[in-house]
Amino acid sequence: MIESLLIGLSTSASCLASCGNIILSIIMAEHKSISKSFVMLGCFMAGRLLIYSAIATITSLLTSIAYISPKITAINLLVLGILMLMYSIGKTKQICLNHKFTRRIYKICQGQINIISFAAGFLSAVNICPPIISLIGNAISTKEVFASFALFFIGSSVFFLPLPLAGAIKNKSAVTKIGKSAAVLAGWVFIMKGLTIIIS
Amino acid sequence: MKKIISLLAHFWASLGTLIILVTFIGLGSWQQLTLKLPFMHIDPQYSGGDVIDTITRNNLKISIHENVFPGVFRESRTGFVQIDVNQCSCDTIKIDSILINNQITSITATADNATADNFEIAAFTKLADRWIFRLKIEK
Amino acid sequence: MNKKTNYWGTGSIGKSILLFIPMLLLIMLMMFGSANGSDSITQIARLLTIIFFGAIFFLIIYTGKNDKWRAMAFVVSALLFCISFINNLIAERGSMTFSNAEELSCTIPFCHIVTPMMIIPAAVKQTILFPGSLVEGFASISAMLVIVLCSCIVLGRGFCSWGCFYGGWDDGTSRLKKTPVIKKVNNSYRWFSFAMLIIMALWSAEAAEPTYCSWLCPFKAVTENERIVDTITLIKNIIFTLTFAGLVIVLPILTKKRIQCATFCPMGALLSLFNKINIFEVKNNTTVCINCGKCDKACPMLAIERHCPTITCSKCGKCVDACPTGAMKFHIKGTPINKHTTIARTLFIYPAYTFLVTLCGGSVVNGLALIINFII
Repeated sequence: MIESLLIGLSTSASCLASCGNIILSIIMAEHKSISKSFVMLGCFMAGRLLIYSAIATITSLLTSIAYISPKITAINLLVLGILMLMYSIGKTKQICLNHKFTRRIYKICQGQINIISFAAGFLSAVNICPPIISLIGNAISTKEVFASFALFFIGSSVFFLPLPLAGAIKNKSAVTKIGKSAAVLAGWVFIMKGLTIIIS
Repeated sequence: MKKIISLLAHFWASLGTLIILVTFIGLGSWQQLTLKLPFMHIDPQYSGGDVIDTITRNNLKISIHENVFPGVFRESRTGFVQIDVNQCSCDTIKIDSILINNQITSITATADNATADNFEIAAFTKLADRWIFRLKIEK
Repeated sequence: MNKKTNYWGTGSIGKSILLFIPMLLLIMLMMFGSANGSDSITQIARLLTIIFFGAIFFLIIYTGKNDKWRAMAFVVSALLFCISFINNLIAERGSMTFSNAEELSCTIPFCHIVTPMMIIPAAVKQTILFPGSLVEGFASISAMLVIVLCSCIVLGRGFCSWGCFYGGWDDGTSRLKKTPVIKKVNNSYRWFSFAMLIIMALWSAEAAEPTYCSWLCPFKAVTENERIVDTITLIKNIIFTLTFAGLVIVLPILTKKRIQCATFCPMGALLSLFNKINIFEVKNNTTVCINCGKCDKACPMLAIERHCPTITCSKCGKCVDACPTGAMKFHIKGTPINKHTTIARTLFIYPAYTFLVTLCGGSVVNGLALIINFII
């Protein structure tokens, strides 16, 4: 059980490096108060938790590791990349308001940021990384599947906790612009990762 | 007080040229100093890692490096073991199941018998003084 | 400040020569102390380099124009650096491309732009994520780190206008047209480089490779690049060719701004943070400023907001030259804005120019020697 928590803690920095740029760019682009930034982080974590719960359920039912083909991972990365690009377009008024489609995206992004954070967390957690595979093995052997996943989730979320503080940085103009740009870049990085998997 | 700060600021500003000259003229010494910093090691995924064993066989010096699983926060599932073989004037170099064609820069790995496992060569190169090849390994 | 020669010039040849002689001696010290060859063509190239750099510095001091002459030295240094570098690569390897031989033997020259991507791996894993040499060879890791640290302390982001041998490309292409085709460029685009810094640093740590160098760096087009062996390396080569064409050639020509340096370079964003602690800055004396906006139009780095330089200022001096009232000036932090301004300018120009000469001088000599060899 403690092992699951330790796996989560050791993975937390890695999770931050691979998925933290998503929620960090959203928090910076929104530049809301720390409490509202924590709500956004909470929605992001809820998306991750939903996926981990699903994996835990499948593991306990099948008592084996669920196989996810690389194609699904690639498509997931592409969808996540497109979500980030849409979000960054949705935050940029100048691009948005000329076209009906982008106007709609803009309205969604203005009002539904928590849903976007949730979707980002959901999509980013679909990529099953090696620590989760070793966690699944550990969970099956201890027969405490849900508890193992819960502890792993807590451990892997630790490094995400300081991220809402980015919302407190002064110079709102600079922070929001960096956040929007980071969202664009994060989107392209995920698209490139997805395409790399498809090509290779 | 303002005058003292202004004086100190001018003094610090005037040291700029001196700092640059000292840096470039003494670059060798500064380089040696930076080598003492704890992070001044090339990542094993590029350097191949530390040599853990050296064997001599048929007048060939074979250096075997440690297992390397690349990654910053966590090790990846697949890695490699780097093996260095010093150059010789022979046409082919054979080490167990590995056959190196010294003439045309090629390398093959085959299983000699049914009980030996096939292994995959992740990368190889021929340098002036040695061959380097990396065998793929998985956790 | 001197009203005879557009504010910042000395106005007299005598004073200019007095200020010029120490720099000339420094230039000669650096050129003769460098490790270039001793054949006659190299000696001629060395002499030409001394004359060139010496003349440029004299003109900076005498005319009071910072940017025009600085840019001349900067652009020439960048071009000749690339000529010299490419020639060395072809002499050593036979091509501009590197294969896994160079990677496996850790002999790839270290570039300063890799620095932001090294920070997280160096902190977490205590290793350098780059297949280069720690001490030996051209552009070893330890040498470049020392040089980068020195420039951070002395120049801050001034490195981008007084040292970076890639920035000269951007600077040069942004001067090709007299008037911009795209007249209005939103200064907010400069924040994109900070997003690049964050994302590249995180992505490099996650992917365990210097991702900006592997995937995005436009200057691979004029230095070294990965050999095309599969689809992925082909895509990488296409990306860097497109980024070079777009960000270094086309957009700077159309906008007259240094688009790559101002909006894309993660190293520039990192150096901007050092501008906060650097003693030198470009400052606007608001009591003299007439809000004409010429500084904003002139700034190639998109660094001016409401007529005041921000942390992304690379201290090129273009706004200082453009300002009609002398409100924009080089300034030493902690000193009064309207006093000793010429001293502040001189105290900045000296180390900045010394840095340019020492960093790029050797390459300029090599490059000139190659051109002379080619012509003869």
